[in-house]
Amino acid sequence: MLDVLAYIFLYTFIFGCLFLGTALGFTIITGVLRVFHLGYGMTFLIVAYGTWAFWKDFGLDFLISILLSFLLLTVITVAIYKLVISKFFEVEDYLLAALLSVFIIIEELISHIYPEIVGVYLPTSVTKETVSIAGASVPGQLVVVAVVSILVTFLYLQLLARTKIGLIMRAISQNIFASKLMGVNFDRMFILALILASIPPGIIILLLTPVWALNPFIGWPLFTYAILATVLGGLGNLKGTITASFILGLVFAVTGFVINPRMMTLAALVVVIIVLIFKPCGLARAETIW
Amino acid sequence: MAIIEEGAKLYPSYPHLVISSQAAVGTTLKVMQDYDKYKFYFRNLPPDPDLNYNTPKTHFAIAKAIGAKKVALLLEEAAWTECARKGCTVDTPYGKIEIKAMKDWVPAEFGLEVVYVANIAVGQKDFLPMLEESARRGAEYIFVLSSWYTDTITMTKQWAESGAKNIPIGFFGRPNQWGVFYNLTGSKALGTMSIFYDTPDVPPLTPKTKEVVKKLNAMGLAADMSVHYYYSEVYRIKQAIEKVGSLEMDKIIKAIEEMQFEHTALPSKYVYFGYKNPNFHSYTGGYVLVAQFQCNGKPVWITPSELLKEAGYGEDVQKVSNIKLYKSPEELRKSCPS
Repeated sequence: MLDVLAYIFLYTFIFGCLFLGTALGFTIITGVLRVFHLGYGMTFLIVAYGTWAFWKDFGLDFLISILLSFLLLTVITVAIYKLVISKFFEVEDYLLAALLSVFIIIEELISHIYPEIVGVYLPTSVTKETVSIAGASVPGQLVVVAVVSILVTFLYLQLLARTKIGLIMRAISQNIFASKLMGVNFDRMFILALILASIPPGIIILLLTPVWALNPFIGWPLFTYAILATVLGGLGNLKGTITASFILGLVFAVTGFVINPRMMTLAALVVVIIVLIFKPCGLARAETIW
Repeated sequence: MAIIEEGAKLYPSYPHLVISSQAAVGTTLKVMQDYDKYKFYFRNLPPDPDLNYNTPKTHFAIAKAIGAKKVALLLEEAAWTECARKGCTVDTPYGKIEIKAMKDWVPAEFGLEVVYVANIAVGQKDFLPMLEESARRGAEYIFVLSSWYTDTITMTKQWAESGAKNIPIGFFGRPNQWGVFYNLTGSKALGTMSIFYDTPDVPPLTPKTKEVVKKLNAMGLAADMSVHYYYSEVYRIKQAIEKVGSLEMDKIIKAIEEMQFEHTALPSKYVYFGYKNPNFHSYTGGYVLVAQFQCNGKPVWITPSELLKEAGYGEDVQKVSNIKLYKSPEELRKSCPS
């Protein structure tokens, strides 16, 4: 029994951090832009397959390929803002459909160029060791993912809480119109928020590929994690997302180790729905990002 | 099932053949129950009882041969695995077939204790709880009844760094049947076992195997089992048409039922579509050639040779495959250059 408890504690932390890492960017987008970015899953794909393309197809150094993939992501993010988000910002249904379409186009394009049989693999293992704590074991790489998720979240909190840019973002998240009246350069801050939001999922996918398959459709399950944590947290509130991530981590761990591992995602969905029935706005009030 | 019904309506005005390796046992039964109506339908896949029993037996024979006493069963939750998960009874005009659930027949037939059973959801990505639980309960062999619905790449990557990494793991279907599988997992497939024919070094399962795999690989195509199935069937149709000398479909169907056929990967008795096959218009399942990925992804075939002999594979195959060539994952990780 004690070893099962050890597994639950350990994996609550691991799964919780995984939820947090995938949801951090989505929370910033929903918190600052107030846009339910249905194309968010493409960020995972662009960084992973961009890195592979620069590394294998263009023969560049692996680390330079990673940096270039983030640059590519930035370019695509700006293009999506200019061509899609700013154009359809006032018509939400069009915006959602357009963002989803962009995601599917990118996914299909990658699937056409790099079908699974190509054998895409990124050597981003920091460790291949298995970490054991109190009789429970976990891949060391997932511990790395967890630590990096917490670190990135901490850095983003510092940015939001202690810098002028963070102050402006919080202002926008509280009231778009009032912040405009105060002279906020709306377009520039939106683009900046989008770019900042695209970095955490890029980092997470790079660190996760040693323990998750990399295929052109990997964006969906990770996007599902991001949606679950963000919606449960209050759609755009970082405190809520952090709390929600570890609640979902606990649900995953208890379901996986005590109930039935086949039901993990189902259990998480049920918990989210039940919470939303009683708290329709999620765990935290989403009037501000922090 | 929809195709077989629509095909039956179409056949009188438009005689045709359907050969499909879908996993609905109902299509096998329909041909047996109403031959005149459904005779155009052939299924180039063993029916569910074979897929869930006769073919996976190879893995448990291997588990026993390498000294495992406790096994964990990870079973894909899809319609085709129902016989393995729950057991099944199939009524045919030639008698009733009853298959117990895998957790029941494995101890009864192989003397292996089943210490853990888990179902795998379609699209599941987090396999660590089931792998860790297998290890916690002392499993000495993990069998994964997988097809295209199970992400065996992710499972392999997680297995290789989990508490179950020293437990031998054997897969059924999915990309683990591709030569590129080893690369896809970043070499973490070291030590895993799978039905595997996708390499020019494949043993001559039939006289056509090596040539076909070489040609497919040269074109950048993988030669998993499904590829062998479909590639072979085109030649069966060609052979039947040539034998009949016309496109009269009734005669072609008769010719297919009567002729012995040389497949690219399976012994003749597995792929005979005629009345001598208990599954009639379907393949028959049985022991298969399982490989273990060893150093640098080199496949080493380990199905005990006596099983291959029983299945009808030639001596060349029996000589190549040897259970003594098996090495534990731990041993391989220590001995193979990283």
